[in-house]
Amino acid sequence: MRALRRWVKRLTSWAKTQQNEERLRAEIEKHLALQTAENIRAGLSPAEARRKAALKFGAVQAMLEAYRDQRGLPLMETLLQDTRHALRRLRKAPAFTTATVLILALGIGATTSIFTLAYAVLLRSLAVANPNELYRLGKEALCCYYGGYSQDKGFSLVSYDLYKHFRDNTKGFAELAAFQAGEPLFGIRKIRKYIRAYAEIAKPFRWCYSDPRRRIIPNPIAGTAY
Amino acid sequence: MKEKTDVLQGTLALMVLKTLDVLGPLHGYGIARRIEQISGDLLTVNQGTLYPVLLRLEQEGSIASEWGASENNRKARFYRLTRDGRKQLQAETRGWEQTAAIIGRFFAAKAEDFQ
Repeated sequence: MRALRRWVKRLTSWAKTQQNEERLRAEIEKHLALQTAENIRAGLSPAEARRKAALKFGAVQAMLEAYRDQRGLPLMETLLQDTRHALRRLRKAPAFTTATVLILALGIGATTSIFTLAYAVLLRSLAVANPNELYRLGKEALCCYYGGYSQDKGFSLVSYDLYKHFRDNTKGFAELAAFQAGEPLFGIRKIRKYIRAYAEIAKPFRWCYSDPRRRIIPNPIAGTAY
Repeated sequence: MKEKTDVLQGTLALMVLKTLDVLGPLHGYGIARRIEQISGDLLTVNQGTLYPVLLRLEQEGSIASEWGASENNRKARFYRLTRDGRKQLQAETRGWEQTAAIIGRFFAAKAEDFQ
């Protein structure tokens, strides 16, 4: 408890540094004056009395150092001083400061946005119970209906009958779901319509959701159902 | 001439507390003089070393200080013991007495005591 109180005092001491410094100086002065007076009473000459008093007091500078080290937190104070010094120097070189700030801002901004993208696309797991058990079926890596009839390696479209055949005869999958291929969507109303349609088709996917309130919403533009 | 000893770490604080307990509020010089007198001038303490100790005790809340008038009516900073300081003094006194008693017993021990 005592240590805590002391620490708080030390932490807040910088606010009163000037005042403390003056107080200490006054105290030292007073101390030396009293000792000198006593020495004079003992029969010394004033100069000798003063000298003896100073001798008895010891090295003032060393004591001041010890005092200052104890008063505040020297580490914090140096840090504060260094920061102030740095700010002063920056103010004196506005061109350098502007360039540095801009470079840092651009760097941080670019890194953040790239990470955000990489996180969303590569790192984040899908919001389902077991994302590692989900598979997308197709002939190519880009399997599905993809932005109109523009894929090079043929369209990974299957007929509804083939889908039904897969669904009923592939024992390796717990469930299988498909969605209807459509034209690229741009209007909000159209997207809503398609989302509703996809959600209907994707109903079987609900088994893999840990949270029953969440519904699968296939990405209608990329045409992939997760 | 008597041999002078250095002050053990931490004992100066205890001496300050005890001095203030016995004599009531004192300024720095007064405390230094009393410690010298009571120790019979056996301690080689630079009087200046007292001030960092006073600061620490004040930070810990064991003593408090305020400006007042000294004997020749000049302003001086007076230190006084707080309630916490009195408690601390009591605890540390017990600790010292215990230590002194144990050491005393070791010094008093003779060979036949162990047979």
